[in-house]
Amino acid sequence: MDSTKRTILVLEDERQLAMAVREAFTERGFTPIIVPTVEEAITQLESNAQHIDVIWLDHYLLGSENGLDFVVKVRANEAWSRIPIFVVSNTASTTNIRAYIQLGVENYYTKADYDINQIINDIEYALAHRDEKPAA
Amino acid sequence: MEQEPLKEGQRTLSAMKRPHGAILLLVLALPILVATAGLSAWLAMFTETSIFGLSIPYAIGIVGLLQTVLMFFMMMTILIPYERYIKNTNTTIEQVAKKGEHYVQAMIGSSLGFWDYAPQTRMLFFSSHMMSLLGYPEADRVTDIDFWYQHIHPEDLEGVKRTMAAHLDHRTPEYWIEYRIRRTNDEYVWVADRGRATLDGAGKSIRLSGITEDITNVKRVQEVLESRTNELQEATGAIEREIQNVRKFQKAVDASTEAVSITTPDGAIIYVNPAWTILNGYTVSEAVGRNHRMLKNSQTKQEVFIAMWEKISSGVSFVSEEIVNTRKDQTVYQADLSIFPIRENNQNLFYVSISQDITQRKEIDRAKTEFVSLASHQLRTPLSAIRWYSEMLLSKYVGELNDKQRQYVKEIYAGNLRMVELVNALLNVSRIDLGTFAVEPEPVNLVEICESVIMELTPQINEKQQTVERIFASAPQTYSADQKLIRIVFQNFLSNSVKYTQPGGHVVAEISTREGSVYIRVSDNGYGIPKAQHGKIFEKLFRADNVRQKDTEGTGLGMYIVKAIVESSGGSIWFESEENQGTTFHVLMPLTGMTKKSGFKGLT
Repeated sequence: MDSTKRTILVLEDERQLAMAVREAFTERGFTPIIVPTVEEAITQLESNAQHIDVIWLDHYLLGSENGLDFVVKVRANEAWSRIPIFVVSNTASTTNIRAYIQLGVENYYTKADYDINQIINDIEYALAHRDEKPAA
Repeated sequence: MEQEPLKEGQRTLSAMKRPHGAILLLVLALPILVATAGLSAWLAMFTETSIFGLSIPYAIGIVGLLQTVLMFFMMMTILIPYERYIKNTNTTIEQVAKKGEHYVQAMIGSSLGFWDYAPQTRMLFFSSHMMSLLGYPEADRVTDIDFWYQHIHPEDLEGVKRTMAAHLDHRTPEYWIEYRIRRTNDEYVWVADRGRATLDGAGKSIRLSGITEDITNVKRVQEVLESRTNELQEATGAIEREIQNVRKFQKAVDASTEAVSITTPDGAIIYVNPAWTILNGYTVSEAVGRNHRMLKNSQTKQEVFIAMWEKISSGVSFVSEEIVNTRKDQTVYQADLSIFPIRENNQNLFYVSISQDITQRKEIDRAKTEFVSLASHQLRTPLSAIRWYSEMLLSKYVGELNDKQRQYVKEIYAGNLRMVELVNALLNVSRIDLGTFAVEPEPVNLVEICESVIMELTPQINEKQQTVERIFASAPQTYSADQKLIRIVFQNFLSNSVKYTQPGGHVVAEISTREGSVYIRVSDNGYGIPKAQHGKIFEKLFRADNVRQKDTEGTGLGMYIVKAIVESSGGSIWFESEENQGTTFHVLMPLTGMTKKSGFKGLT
């Protein structure tokens, strides 16, 4: 794996959007890993956590668990909780948003309101500044 | 008879035999004396020294003695009855007088005025009391009847005369009349006369005597009694009417489809209407006397009850849609509840509760809300796809586009953005309509938010070479507001001004404080709103004709949303505008800040 390339774990079950996300992140020099369920995302983390730099999380996913369940699991695991999570979803329930923020996600975006490059800019910014910070 | 002392006296007298001896004495006395004197003289002159063996002086002595005995005997038998007779007569007279005295004393004691009238002579006797009743000095007066007539009230005079005449003519058994008489101080007093005529042997009225009583007090009491009776009647009438009204109200309440119950201040039920019994499954007899608590379901949040008791115990009415109740058959339903305390003199007399089963309505609302959420989510997903793919096309990810291709893709991107805006606006509108939008106030800096919005619009402002003036001098440092919502207000006003003003135009944004309110104003000198369409500005999806022609973008929902946001916090919004002159929007919000409102969602 190219060490300068960042790896982003993408939890997105809409095929259309997943493809756009993959294309965009690839173009910007990321290695995207697309998974449609929380289960598969956990599997990825279990085998590859140290190489995953950032997580893109949609709220509604295939399977019984949703984005909030995933964040709870990630936060519970010390090794994984250092990974910044960006929630990008089309639900606007304030209850959910508040829950995500309380659980400590990096940011929340309503998909349709943002260009994908805007989101990727924010992700790069966050990663750059996190690298400057001392390791947790 | 007690009442006729004179007649009785006369009867007593006539019952006594009048002695007649006096005549006899008179008739006999002279002859006896003459006879005795003659005999004595004959004896002395014409007889010798003795007669019948008696010497002449002796004989004369005997004659003298005889005469004395005879006279003595006669006087005794005749005069003693006379003496007795005189004594009896005196006693009778005394008794008669005494009886009369009783009446006089009674009269004096009673302070009644006594009068005595002789119709033949028209002479009238007024007792001293009678005179003082009229205000004159207290002394008996003998005068004529006109004196009396002059004192009678002119309206009553006729009646008095007639009444008197009627009795004197034996048409009435008694003389009795009430009338007004004038006293010396020119005041009229009410008096009552009662009297009886004295008849002569032929049955003709020769005297009328009676008493006069001052009945002012009696009249006053009568008046008071009359007015009290009237008052009582009126009060009874009023009570009757009240009862009718109450019956009407009771009928109305009984017929209502809302469940109504009335409880005492400590929660005991004293009345439930039919709708209540149907809703809760208890009959009237099962409900009355029991406490409202029997409906309580643990699903109702404690805060609701705490807030309820706080409010109603201090006399404030309480409304809630968050009540969960249990019926008699243990089924559960959601209720909206309004409790109105009925107070008097700062104390709760009882509570009136009105409630409805809103389970279905809540279900429907929830379904609507979920539908809207789901729909917007479903709509946004393809919109996101279009947005990102267009974006990527434009950004050369997959190669360079020619000018025409670039232009077309830009149109796609722009059109898509409008759709995104519309979906967001519709979502907000549905939350406003369903009342499910939340207001979460926190301290914000209004100027910062306004500046940030202006900054977002800078590209358009610069492109159209418009100027923006800021008047923030007296803006409050912090203000308690829901950041998202107040941002929407600024966004709508400012983007409208920029959009609907010609190039080179001028926009003013003002934030200041005014008499306990925060004041926001956004003015422009742009296209304005035609007068005929002023009334519709706040309607959903309304866009004025003049701007629709100039610019096809715009959802027509912005003003509806802004108005709902402003008014939900007790603020007010209004505007002035003239076509081609410009528009000014004003907003006043309470300085205390936006009202916290819990809902399911925030507006986006």
